Amino acid sequence: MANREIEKSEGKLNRRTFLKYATTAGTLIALGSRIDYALGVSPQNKPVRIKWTKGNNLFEYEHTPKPEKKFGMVIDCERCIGCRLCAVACRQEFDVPKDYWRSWVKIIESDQKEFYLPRLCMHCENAPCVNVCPVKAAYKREDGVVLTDYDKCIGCKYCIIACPYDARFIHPIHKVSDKCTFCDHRIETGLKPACVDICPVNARIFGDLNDPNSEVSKLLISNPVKVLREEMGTRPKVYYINPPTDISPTEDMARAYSRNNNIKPKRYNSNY
Amino acid sequence: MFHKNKRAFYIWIIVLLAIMFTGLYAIILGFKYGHEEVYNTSQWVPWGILISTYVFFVVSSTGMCLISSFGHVFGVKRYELIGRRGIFLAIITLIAGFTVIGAELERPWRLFIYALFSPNINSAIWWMGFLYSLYLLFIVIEFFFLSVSEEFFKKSKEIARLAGATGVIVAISAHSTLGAVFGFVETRPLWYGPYAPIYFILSAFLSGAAMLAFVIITTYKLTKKEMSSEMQSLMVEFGKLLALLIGITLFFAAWKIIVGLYGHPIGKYEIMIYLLKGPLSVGYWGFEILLGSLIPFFILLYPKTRTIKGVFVASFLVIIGIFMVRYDFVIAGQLIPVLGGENYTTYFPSLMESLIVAGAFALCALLYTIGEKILPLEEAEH
Repeated sequence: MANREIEKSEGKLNRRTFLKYATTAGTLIALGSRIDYALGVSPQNKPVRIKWTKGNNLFEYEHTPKPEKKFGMVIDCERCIGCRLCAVACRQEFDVPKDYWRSWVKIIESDQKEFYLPRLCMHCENAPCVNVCPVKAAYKREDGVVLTDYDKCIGCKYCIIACPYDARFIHPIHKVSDKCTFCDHRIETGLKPACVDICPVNARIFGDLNDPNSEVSKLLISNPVKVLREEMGTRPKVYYINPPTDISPTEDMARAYSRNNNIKPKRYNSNY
Repeated sequence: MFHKNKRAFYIWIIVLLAIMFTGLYAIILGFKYGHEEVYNTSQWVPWGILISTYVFFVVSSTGMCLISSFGHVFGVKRYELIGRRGIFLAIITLIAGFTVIGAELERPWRLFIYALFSPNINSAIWWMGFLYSLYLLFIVIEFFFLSVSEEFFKKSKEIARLAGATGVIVAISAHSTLGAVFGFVETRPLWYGPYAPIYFILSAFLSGAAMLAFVIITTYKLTKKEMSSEMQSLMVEFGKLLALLIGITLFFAAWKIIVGLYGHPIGKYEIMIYLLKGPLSVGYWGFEILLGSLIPFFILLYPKTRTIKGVFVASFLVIIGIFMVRYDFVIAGQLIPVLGGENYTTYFPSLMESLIVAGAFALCALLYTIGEKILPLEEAEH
């Protein structure tokens, strides 16, 4: 009898101490997850210096928070002529290293015609890259631009795995994850992003989605717009007018190894 | 090891050190010239053989911890024979896994600062790192208190039991979080879903049992020690456990194939065709299914072949098969480009990556050899 009492009391003690430790640990983790804000390591709503990459260099600019803005882009694929000046301008602006692109034009062949789909980072509202980064190096600014903190990035490549739009890559010189930034150092001073500025046919339109008088808002109201990979739930902020929809040729890939081996591979051997 | 033959022992140590230093050299080259020069990973296949080897080591470590805990945590008496050895192996495979992932990260030294001061509790990788660090702490404590004798520290067995119990809970959480690293990613159709976290737990038992059986039988052979009859029957029991786990794993694999092919689901279908008929089919059918599952399954199924030698051969084959399973899982998930790609992505491990993998195995073997010599790993005298 005495043994059972001791066992019961020991059991109760173990459960109580376990609950004590568990709640302490849980509270510490919940508080500790905010430690970066407490220490000022993560950006808050005050002017902050943000870095941007240009080739071998890392420049800085001062950013004043603009919480009332929500930057977005509309791309009219009917206007696009496939000149790829936007890809070149973007590469020039940031000295993006060879073999990598922050913004490019996807060429889709269909019925001996070519269709053009300009692509870039979608700056998603529910960005998978922001969700999965272990050190909060990928973050969403208050004005909607998704940026990378080049100091924090450890190069685990989880954001590249998670992005459904192939937007991210590891910068070979700085060894961190990089992508299109909506030219954040240009839009800070009221300029347009480089790809938008240079487009000769105004296929790319950039502006503030929260402003009902901006060109992007007017285009969104008056045109049927689509987003890429809507089923992913990322809620991107780059909207397409009349995009070519045949951009998932995955079934053709499988035919190469299936029974019907007469399928020739497609002409462009690139995933860009 | 090799207690009777000094020269063979020294040759073994020197060979292991040579392989280890080659791996270290490959890591240094990787950081000096940049990973995109030295490894074959690319924007389309960011995670290569280093990630799959990390998964292999960490899954084996968790499995070995869980199986060793049958003894001193859950009270199954005959598993106490392998308790200490299993926990020690769990520690060194975890260290090998951390070494491999350290070589894979672009800036691993930043991890220690920013994982602490800028954590993202939405990130599966952050939780995985945090829980595996806790897990390492608990199994080190457990091993320490398992090794000290009762006279030295009065309550050592109870503390070992407590640390072991917490270690088991943390191991299962950490391990399913590792599965969630893959399972959360909606972009990759092969990985997405709740199955990766669940399947990894099953795979941990398989991987851990195979590695434990292999290492124990090899140790007794090389040190020319006599296996006690309890140990022998435990090894045969491991054989039965392995056969059961292989059977369940084959069942999972079969349904994965069927679901992946039925109705040509976008993404999964292309990956399955590539695995079954494409360039990865040799690795899949040859190593994963035939060598890694079917042959060991039939060796262990019949009592006549379920001897110590049979368990040794079967567990070795299972380890090779499991290594291939991890490789296929990580690489196949990145085979199809996410949006608008024209072709399957291509990846084959580079020489430097293979050297790092070999170096990690050599590190494991070296640490185990040293541990076998100086630490009390034999059957616990309870």
